[in-house]
Amino acid sequence: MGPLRWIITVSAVTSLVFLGLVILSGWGMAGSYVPSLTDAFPSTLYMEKYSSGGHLLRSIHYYSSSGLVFSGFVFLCCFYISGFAAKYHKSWILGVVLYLLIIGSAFTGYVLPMDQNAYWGTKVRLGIMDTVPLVGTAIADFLRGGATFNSSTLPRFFTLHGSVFATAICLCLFILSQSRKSVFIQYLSDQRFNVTLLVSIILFFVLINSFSARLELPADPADIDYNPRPEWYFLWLFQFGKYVEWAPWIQSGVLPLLGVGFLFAVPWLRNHGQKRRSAIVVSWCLVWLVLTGLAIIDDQDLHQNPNYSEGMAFGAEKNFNRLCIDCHGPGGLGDGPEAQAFDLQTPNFTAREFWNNTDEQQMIIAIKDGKGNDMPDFGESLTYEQILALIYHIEKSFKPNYQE
Amino acid sequence: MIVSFISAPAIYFWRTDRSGVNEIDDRWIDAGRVEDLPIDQWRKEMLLFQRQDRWASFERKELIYINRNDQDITVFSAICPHAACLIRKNDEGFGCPCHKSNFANDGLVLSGPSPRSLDRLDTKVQDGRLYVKYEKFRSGTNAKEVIG
Repeated sequence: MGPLRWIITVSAVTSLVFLGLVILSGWGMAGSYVPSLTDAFPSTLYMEKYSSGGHLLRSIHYYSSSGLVFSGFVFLCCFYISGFAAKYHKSWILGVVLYLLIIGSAFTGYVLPMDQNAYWGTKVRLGIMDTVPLVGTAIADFLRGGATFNSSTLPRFFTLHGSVFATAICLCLFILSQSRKSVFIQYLSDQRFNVTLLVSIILFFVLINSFSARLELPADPADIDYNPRPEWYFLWLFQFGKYVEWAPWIQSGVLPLLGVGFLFAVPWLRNHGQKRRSAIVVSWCLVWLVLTGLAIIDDQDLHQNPNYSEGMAFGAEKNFNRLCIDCHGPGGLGDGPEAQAFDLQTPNFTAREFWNNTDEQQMIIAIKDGKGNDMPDFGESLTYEQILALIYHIEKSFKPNYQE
Repeated sequence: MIVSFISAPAIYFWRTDRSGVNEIDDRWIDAGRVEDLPIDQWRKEMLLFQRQDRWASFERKELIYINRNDQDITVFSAICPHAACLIRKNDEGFGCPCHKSNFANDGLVLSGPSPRSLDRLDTKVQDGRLYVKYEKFRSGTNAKEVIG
């Protein structure tokens, strides 16, 4: 078996495994995800932070889908270079359709967590879609259920992501597998293959569990400082768009049409020989690398968008300085100007006795409902998550011998 | 063929069930007392209001830029007419961080890809209070089409 055949086999198997993982983990998450403007983020946050298996599910889904986009790309490239595209043109067309469906799922799945990243990224992409000549606005409005983000946007994206595209993908796979039945059976009956696969999946789970799928602060349509950026595999298109700002339809209409047209036409193009085909793939990869690199260089000076815990920690510090500092003091000693002026009973956060006599639950209640005559209640102005972050901030800043 | 017939009712529903078309809400939003606005100085303001979208009612937060001079009050929506990013105030006027459109203080495009000048919002003064008619317009088009 030549190296090309070998890469084709490995990338096909990897893609299938990733696809299986993506679909199954997606079904898992659908068990407690609610696609509505008000509940999408809380249900995602619940999965990530408070449920027992949600974190792993999200990680599997997130990294498998990235892996799928990559391994599918490698597969298509090698399949094309080897000349199989012309030989098995039906499989090639189905493979391309499958890959486009995967990209479509990535696009529709992006918005579902409804954090900053999801909201702004999708908004920008729908904005780009709006610039597609003739049909763009109609398609974007169709997907959104109106011309702006609205109550039925998330249900629609969720349906496309989890039902329409997923069903179409399974259908494509089924048709593909019909012509390759013998190969599938041959692999699945090979004991060594099964064991290798099982071990790699377990290793993948263990590895992935220590990473998290990105989750940022809840979407804030009025956040003026947010810098939306696409997923890594779309950075090149984003960068390309900067060069053709005067004619956005080149980025949104001409380029995708050319690309997809080329992919579908491949089996019927004059067969150039393997060297020529490799040159086409390599030069495309170079263009991709250069544009992606330029996008990263362009963004070097931008501040990184904070993830959820960083954002909450930053918010907690601001909340402490805004709400607590007047009484509790900048050093947490309970010596703020208000406390001194009115002789309030304010605890000393740096004292060991305070922490010996207080648990987290008591602090939550004190912040939420107030305490004694002096401590006001903040249950109206702070959410539960904000209160937890505030307590964490106080512990981290003032508690003696604090350890993470 | 068969599939398109079967899916026709679903597609028809998705086509016609749209938000922001027949909203009956009052769009005039209270933006505070006129005399609190400084003269000849741009202010970034957040409008907080409730809007009904089909079955659900939402708290909306929208940014605007206000300037008052001797004769009148100018209010711009902070949403860039190009790709709906939020514009920021700078020395010459306004700038959009996404695709680098720049606008003068009167809203005209100085440079960049924006197809039209900044979206000016209607205002009225009643009993010494400023009311802004908050509307969203389609981005990326030459014409100012109200979409919500």
